[in-house]
Amino acid sequence: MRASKRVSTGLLAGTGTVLAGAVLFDVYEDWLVQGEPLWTSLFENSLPLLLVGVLPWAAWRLYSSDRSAAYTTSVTKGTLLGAGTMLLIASWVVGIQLFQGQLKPKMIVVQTTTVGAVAGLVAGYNTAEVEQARETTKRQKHRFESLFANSPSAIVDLAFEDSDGRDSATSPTGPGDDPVIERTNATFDDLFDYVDTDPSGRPLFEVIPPESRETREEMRAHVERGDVYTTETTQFTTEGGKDFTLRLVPYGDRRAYAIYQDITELKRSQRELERTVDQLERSNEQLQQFAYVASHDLQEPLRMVKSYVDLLETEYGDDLDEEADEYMTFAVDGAERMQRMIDDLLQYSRVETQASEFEEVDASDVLETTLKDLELRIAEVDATVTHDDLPTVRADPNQLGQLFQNLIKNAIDHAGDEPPEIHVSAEQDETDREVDFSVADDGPGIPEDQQERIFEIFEQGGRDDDGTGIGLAVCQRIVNRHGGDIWVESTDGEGSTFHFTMPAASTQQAETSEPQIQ
Amino acid sequence: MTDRDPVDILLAEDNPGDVKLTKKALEQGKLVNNLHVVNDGVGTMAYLRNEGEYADTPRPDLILLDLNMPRKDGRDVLEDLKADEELRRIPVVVLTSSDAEEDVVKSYELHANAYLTKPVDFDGFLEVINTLEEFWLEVVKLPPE
Repeated sequence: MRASKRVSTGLLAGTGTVLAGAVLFDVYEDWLVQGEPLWTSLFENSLPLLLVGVLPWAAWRLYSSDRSAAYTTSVTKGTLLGAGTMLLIASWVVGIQLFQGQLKPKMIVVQTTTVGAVAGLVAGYNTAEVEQARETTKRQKHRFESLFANSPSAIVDLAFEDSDGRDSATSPTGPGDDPVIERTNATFDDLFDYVDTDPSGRPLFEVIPPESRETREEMRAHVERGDVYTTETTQFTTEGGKDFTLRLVPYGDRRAYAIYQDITELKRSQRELERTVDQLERSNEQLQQFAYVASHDLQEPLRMVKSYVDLLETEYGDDLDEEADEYMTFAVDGAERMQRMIDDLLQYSRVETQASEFEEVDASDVLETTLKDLELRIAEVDATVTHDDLPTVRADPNQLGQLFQNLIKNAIDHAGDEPPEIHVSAEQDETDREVDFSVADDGPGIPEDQQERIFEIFEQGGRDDDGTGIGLAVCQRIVNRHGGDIWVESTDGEGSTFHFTMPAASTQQAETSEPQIQ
Repeated sequence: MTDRDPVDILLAEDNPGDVKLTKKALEQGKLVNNLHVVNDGVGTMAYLRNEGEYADTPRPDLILLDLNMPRKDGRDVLEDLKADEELRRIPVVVLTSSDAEEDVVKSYELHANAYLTKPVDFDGFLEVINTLEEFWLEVVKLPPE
């Protein structure tokens, strides 16, 4: 830096000296040798004389200024260029006139002035450019300042080594490389209670303690490499303890912005969400466990009732009267009904416990298999089951089969006196993410006030049948597991259409909506 | 083979109702048998190892094992039994009210010789016990003691 300054100053001073010598020689010749009046001679040399005056002044200014090297160099270059051009032109003009043997001072003045004007124009243009650049810089600075001041994040401008050579080891926090705060924004001051005092000049870690030693070292390492460093930190603020993401963005030479973004709310809701999910998972698991244990452990006493009633009948049947027989029939009926309920409960709990992975399945194939399984039942009531071509969906194949089976069985079980006609169809929605299946029957329909209740466990919608009312509850559970919906559209007396949606093939949606249980 | 020696069957079962049912069913079977009953897992192992009150009891030809028993459950009994060089050859039939897949899998993993779910009605139970008796004590050839 200093070397370039010396060179520039030397050049200016040298040029000035050479020019002064030339002018003095010329004046000496004109005045003393040729006997011209002194003022003519001085007038002729007025331009170089001006330069002789200006150059040392410029050299002095440069030498004493603390501007940057680039500034010094450009001023020097400009001066030398301007002076050189004018000298060249002046001597060219004078040379020609001398060659012609006749000096025309007016001509010299006109020509040199023209060149001076051009040089002035160039210099002016240059200055304008500089001004413009300064304007742009100012605008950028303003822009940055506005952003810095109004940012919702707390921002600290940091220096990792003082440019004045002040060693940060002298800071009160002792030896170490603690970055020093250059300035902070209003958000920072508000948050860390520095509205009335200025934290500038203090080590960052004194103002905001780091969480651990590693953090300091890592911060320093990142700044030295010029990498952005991100971490999370909890700090005590005017609004109490808060969580922040700290982004350390290095710029320039060992400098960085520390940006503290308040993520307390985010953290809090995240924790809450995690807790809720946890609780849900636990309660779901417990429910699962309950359903399983209930169905499993209920079998035991039931078996006792049933076996011993049987035994009573086998061994003492002959000794019992008609009334006792009737009692036994009721006991057996009750036990059998309970048996069915337990089996259903087990089936219901197995929707989650014995589930398979989702895969791409051709719904038509699944339905065909289901219809084969139901062949006997269909023939028994002389039902007609028709279906459209069904698309491929992403589902648990067994459960999709169970869905079709339960819905078709439901339609058969609740058909009126006429042989039921059942039709299965599917529609893919516009966004192609879901398939809407429907199973329509021509049965007696379901009154509107019962249409939601029928999906509840052990709910039979007030209809008279010997089922336990778990079929539709199982359907709902299966559909839920697939992230779909199930509902019924029905007008009393005009049949019902059960709808359910399943994720269409080759969408990832199903995976995200599948509850991760067990 | 009906004139062969009576067979010894060990029934490990805590529910007296089931003990009675099994007895009834075996009474109606073709084979002459001695049914020995233990009510928990610890008793089962004591019986098999002729410990304490079971010092003079005969080694069973077949073990009927309930999975859910107090003190030491059927799974633990199975594990100990099948790890014991002396006892592992005695066929063990798990006879339980559970038809849970995990119980079935677990039992076979522990080298149970068969897994049966107790039927709900007595006729069914009778049938199962008869089939069992016939298969394990008449059809299959077992290693000599």
